[in-house]
Order: sequence, then C-alpha cells, then structure tokens
Amino acid sequence: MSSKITVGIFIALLFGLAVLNLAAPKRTFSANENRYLQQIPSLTLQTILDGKFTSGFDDFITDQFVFRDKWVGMKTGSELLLQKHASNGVYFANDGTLVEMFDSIDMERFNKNLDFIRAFQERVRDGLGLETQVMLVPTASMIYAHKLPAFAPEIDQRALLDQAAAIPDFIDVSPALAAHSDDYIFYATDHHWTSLGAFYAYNAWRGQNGLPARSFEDYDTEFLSSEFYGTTYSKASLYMVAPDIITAFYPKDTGVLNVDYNMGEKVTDSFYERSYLDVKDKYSVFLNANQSLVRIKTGHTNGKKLFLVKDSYANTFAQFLLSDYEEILVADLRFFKTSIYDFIAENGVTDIMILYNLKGFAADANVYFLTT
Amino acid sequence: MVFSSLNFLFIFFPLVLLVYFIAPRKLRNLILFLFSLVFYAWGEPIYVSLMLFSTVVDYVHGRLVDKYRGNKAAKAALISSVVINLALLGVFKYSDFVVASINGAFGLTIPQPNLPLPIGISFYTFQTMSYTIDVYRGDAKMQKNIISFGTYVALFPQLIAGPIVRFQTVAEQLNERRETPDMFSEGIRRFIAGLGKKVLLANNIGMLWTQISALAPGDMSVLGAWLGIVAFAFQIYFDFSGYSDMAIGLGKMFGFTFLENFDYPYISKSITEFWRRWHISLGTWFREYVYIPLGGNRHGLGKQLRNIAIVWILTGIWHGASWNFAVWGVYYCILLIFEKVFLLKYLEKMPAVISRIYTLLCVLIGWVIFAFDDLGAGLRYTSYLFGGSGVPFVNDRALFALTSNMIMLILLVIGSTPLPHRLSQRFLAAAQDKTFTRAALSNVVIVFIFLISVAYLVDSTYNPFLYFRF
Repeated sequence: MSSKITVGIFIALLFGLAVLNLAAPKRTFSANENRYLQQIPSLTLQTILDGKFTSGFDDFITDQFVFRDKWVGMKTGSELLLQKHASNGVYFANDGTLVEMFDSIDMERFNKNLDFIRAFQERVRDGLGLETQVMLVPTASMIYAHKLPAFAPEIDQRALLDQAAAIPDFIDVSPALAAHSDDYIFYATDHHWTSLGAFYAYNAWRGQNGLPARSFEDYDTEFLSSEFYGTTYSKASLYMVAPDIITAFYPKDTGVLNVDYNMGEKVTDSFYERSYLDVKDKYSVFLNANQSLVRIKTGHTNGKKLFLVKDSYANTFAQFLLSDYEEILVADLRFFKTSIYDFIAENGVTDIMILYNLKGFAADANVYFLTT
Repeated sequence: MVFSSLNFLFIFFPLVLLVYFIAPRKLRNLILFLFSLVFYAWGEPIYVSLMLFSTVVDYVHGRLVDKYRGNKAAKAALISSVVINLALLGVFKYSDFVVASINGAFGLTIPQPNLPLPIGISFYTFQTMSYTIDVYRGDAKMQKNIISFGTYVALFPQLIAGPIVRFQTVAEQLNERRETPDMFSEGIRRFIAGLGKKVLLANNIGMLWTQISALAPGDMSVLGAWLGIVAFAFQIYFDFSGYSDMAIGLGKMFGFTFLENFDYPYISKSITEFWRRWHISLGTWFREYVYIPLGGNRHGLGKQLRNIAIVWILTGIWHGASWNFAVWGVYYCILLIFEKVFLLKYLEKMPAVISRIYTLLCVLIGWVIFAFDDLGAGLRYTSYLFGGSGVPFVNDRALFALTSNMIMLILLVIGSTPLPHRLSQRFLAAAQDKTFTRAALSNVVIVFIFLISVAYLVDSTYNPFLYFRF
C-alpha cells in the first residue's frame, strides 16, 4: 500500500508538470530576472549534428518551465535559509541591498593608470595651461561596508584613494558619501550610484572649488522609473529584492539644452534618453548609455567649456554640472579614439575633469588613450 | 542528456515510462534500447555510432567465444575483443596525452589529434569487455539477442557515468525481470535521493571549490586551502555517488538491480577500507579482470605487490588522460602497499578518531593531486595546505567562505555518514504499520527534495557532472 502511494504521488508530479509544461504559453521576457528567455531552437540536420539544437532545447525547457518565477523564488528562499552571504560576486547586505564585491585588484594596472593621468595632467598644463581635476568614486562596498556580511574579503578602497590623492587636483568624495552612508546613494540592485549619491559628491566638488553648496531646492526632481533592476540583481540571482528608483535632477538654472551625440549622429534637447526606461538597461537613461562623444550646450553664457573624460558613473554626475558650464564635452575612452590632446586644443576647452568609479578605473585598459 | 536536467525529468523520463509500461513485455528491451540511444545521442549525435560499433563488436565476439568454446579460437576472439575495446579507448581518450608525452620527452612536434572525448566511453568499453570475458570464463551465458545485448550496453541509467555493471550481474535480468510497485517506489526514493545529492549538495559546494581554486596566491590562506579541498572532496563524492544513486534508482524502476557503487567512503578507517567503499564497481572490475587474472595474492608477496601496482597505475590512468592521474594512482598504490605490509594492523588498534583523521588526510591530499591536471599547480596547492609559499594561516576571504558555507558544510558532513539513511529506514519501518498519515508523511520528504531540486534546476547557473570526463 505504502509503495503504491509513493508511486502515485511521483507519477502525478512527473506527468502533471510534464503536461503543464507542454500546455503553458511560452514567454519572451522575464521581468523578474530581467532577461530574455530562450525560444525553441530551429531544427535542421546541421543544428542536430553540431549539438546546437539539443543545447538550445535544454535552455528552452529550462527558461520556459511552467511557474518559472515561483521555482526561482523557491530557490532564493532556500539560499537564504542556508545563510549564504554572497553569490556570483555580489554580497547580500543586511538591508537587502545587493552590493558588488571588490575583492581583487590588479595593482600594476591601477598604478599605471594613475601614471597615465599624471602624464596627461603635465602635458595639458605645460602645453595648454589647463588644470585637470580627478575624481575616483569609491563603490558601494566601501561606503556601505557597515551593511556587508562579516569578513567580507574587500580590497581596502581607502588605501587606493589615499594613493590616488597624491595626484594634483584630486577630489576625494568619500567623506561626503560616507556622511550619507545610510541614505539611498547607491542602487540596491545595481553597481552604480544614485543621483542622490552623485549630488553629495557634486557638493563636495563645489566645496573644493570654493563654490557654495547647492540644496535640493535648486532642482526639479522626477522619478524616471521605479522598476529598475540592475546588474547586481542579474548576477546574484536572488530575486526577492524590491526594484530601484531612478531619479532625475533638473537644475533650475540651465535653460534649454542642446545635446549632440557623436558629432551630429543624434541631436536632442534632453539629458535623458527615455527609450531606455522601457527596456532592461534603465541606467542608460542618463546620457544615452556610454557614447564616444557627447557635446552638451546649456543656456549659460559664461564661456566655460568642460572636457569630461569618464565612465558610466559620470553619466549621473554630469546632470549637476549643467549648472556650471556653457558647454560640456563628454568623452568615453572605451570608444573615443581621437587624440585627446589635439581635441582639447582645437575645441577651446577651459576646464578638464576625469571621473571614474574606483573599481572600474583600477581595471580599465583604456586610460592609456589619455596620453595620445 | 543528464538526469539532473529538466529535459530529462519532464520530457524524456515520462515518455520512456509511459511507452515502457504500456508495451508488452517482449518489446520492453527494444524500447529501453531505442530510448537509450536517443538519451546518448542527445549529447553525442555523432559518437553514438562509436557506442553502437563497440556493441556490435562484442556481440559478435561473444558469439565467437561461445561457438569455439574450449578451442584456441575462443581465446583469440577474447583477445581480439579486448584489443579492439582498448584501442577505442586508446584512440579517443589517450591519443592526445600519448602524443603530448612523446613530444615532451623527445622534443618532437607531432600534431595532436585533438579528438573530443566521447561521453561515457570509459564506462561502456569496460562493460562490453566484461561481457566477452564473462562469456569466455563461463560466468555468464552468451546473449543471442542483439537487442537485449544492446540494451545492456546502452542502458541509459548507467550508460554515461556508471556504475560499471558487469554482464554477469544483469545477464538474467535482461531476459527475465519483474517490475513491481515495491521496486518502483524504492527506485523513486533512491533516484530522488541521488538527485538531491547532486543538485542541492554537490553543485552548491562545488562553487566554493571553483572560487578557491581560482584564487591568486596572494589571496590564499591555510584555512582557505583546506576549505577548498574539503569542498572538492564533498563535491566529487555527492556528485558521483548521487549519479550512482540515480542510476540504481532508475534501474529499479525498470526492474533491474545493479550493485552498490558507494558505501559511505568518508567514514573509512584506512585507505584499504576507503577503496572498498569508493567507486566499488570500478574496484571490482579491476579485481575481477586484472588483479585476479594476474595471479592476485596466490604467488607470494612480491608478485602480489607487483599486481597491486599494475592495478593502481591503470586505475589512475582510467580516471583521465594526464600525468596527475597516473601520479594519483601511484600515490594510492604506495599507501595501500604500506598499509598492507605494515600500517593496517596498527590502524585497527588505534582509536577510530585517529584512524579516520589519518584516512581523510590521505584522501584529501589525493584529491589535490586529482583536481589539478597540472602537477606543478597541485604541488603549489599542497604547499598552501601546510602554510608554505608564505601564505597566512587565515584571512578574511577564508573566514567569509567558512561563515557563508557553514550550514552547507554541516549538512554535507551529516550527509556523508549513514545517519540520514538510518533515520529514514527507521521512519519507513514505522510507516509500515499501515497508518496512512505516516505513509503520507514519509512521502513529504521525498516530494520536498524533488521540488527543491527542480527549483535549483530551473534557475541553474552551475550544473556540471565531474565524472563526465572519464
């Protein structure tokens, strides 16, 4: 009797799920996991022989499995029961924030990158009489260190910042960020800082330049999205976290913008590219993801022209700089392969800023292009 | 295809069950054979021909051996079968290794053939060889029906990662077997236990080994190194024994009884005992078809030690075509000989704790040799274990790995002992008293493990089978 019950239950489970799976409608996108799901692969002699059909079919069954989100949630629950503290390079911080690990570094590259900056600073100072400010932004794993699990094997970002502080005109924003370490200054599901984090850093920058601090009253804010799931969410596959909110800060004093991507490839009047709000990669709403060169003309007529060399952290930061310059030229060295020196000389630049996040900077292989 | 895939669980498996149990008894071997071919071809659409070739070769040789029984021709057929099987194995598994070794030794640059390893070739060639040998020795009857013989070779439960089922074990079952609800439900329990071992335990702890083995020397610590190799030891045990459980369970559902392949190896009190408990079917194979034919222990200690050495070098190389596996075999050969001539009698007198620690230490060092194809890397890792190469005793990384995996490690330790099995047996015995609630409750655990395993498979980023490379 007992045996037959076991057999009955198992057969019911096996066939029940098998039939449900056949019957269930197929989906194209999982909002929960924030990714596209595998569709049924094409069946040809070629795909059978090279194994593409079978491996694609395996993924298809897995991705389209009935009640997929419930299963994934069940796994998440059991991972939490097991008291796991991290997964796939992402910490589970004690308030539910998913923080990217910064647990290894190529010191040789980091030092070289600092040297490239020094060399660049000297060259533009000697040749063009321009100063270059440098901002390396510590990541969430330093600022949110108090939220991380015990013994988190972190690189000492403080030591890296101290080392970088030897560079002329280095702006250390870590005290400003640390002062707000319980605020929403980094996304809970992404490795970037929020507009609020960038705002505090911006005030630190103003302080260093002898400018008065700004207050929230100087901005109109707008919730661009309250459904943002970012990179750490995808990596950790821990699907019990609330989505992030992306906020825009519009300085009240900038006037009408003219934003030109890659020398006329696209011209618009907004700092934000809203089409990204409908897709997975919502952080790209700032400055239209990472473009080779963006030329922003503001309503100011102060004659100040900033050349900003940056990674994606600066895409959030730059919305605050709209208050300070008549024109901002934003270059991403991963794509911008023209001679930087010549470009600065030819474009009547008055100020230069280099802005990276510390982790990205330490691993970036393109800082070398500064010296071209 | 692998058992721990949704594809197998919810498409292949229901289909084969349905067709198998609807079909008349006469057709059941044919059905298993055909489904097994699909199972294999799913991952190896081309090499399935190789398996069929090996099947036909041994079918024919078995008939020849039987026809010329007592004759020199029978022996010739036997030798021919062994040569062909070993040649298959040699070409597809060892050709790169042999060429690379020759190039290295003589400074030559003979191009390597770079043949991809056919899944399960080490298992099915050993099985087909066992058939011809069993028939030659009269341990089993020749199988006239090529479909039944093909079923034996291709039988999907044990096809790609064992246990290595010797022909004599299943010869009768191939012709006559009874599938019963009792066997089926036992099979279900066994299969789900294996699935859980593989998906929930092995995969989980495997990630820890993957992380630690990839660490830069500067991030290594003594504690971290031990954690890493312990993680590997758990991974390979739960991975492989889980696969064997699934194979044995599936076999039961179709009316087959395979022999056990693992018997809680990590509770052993000597290396000698460990190898009676680890991958039993391989040990038995080498004993039956190599060690005993060589004379075993019947011609004095000297010959016996020689025979042990031959068996263990072969065992090592069977596990993989690179030098570290040969060294691994020699390592165990030395330990086993040492125990045989000297240590064993002392180990038996010592407190169990000490002999167990000794055994586990030896096994863990063995896994280091096993885990690194590059012998130099293995040596370096060994030095970390003992604080060499200037690594600190402990660092944050190791403490983080330890705290993050603490519950999992406790579960793994308990899972390596007979305790869970004993508890479940006691519970099942209690369930026999016909109270419905107990019977139902005993199924709750099974269903729970099954569902959680499915959940991990639905969201699987890491699901390798270690013994696939063999």
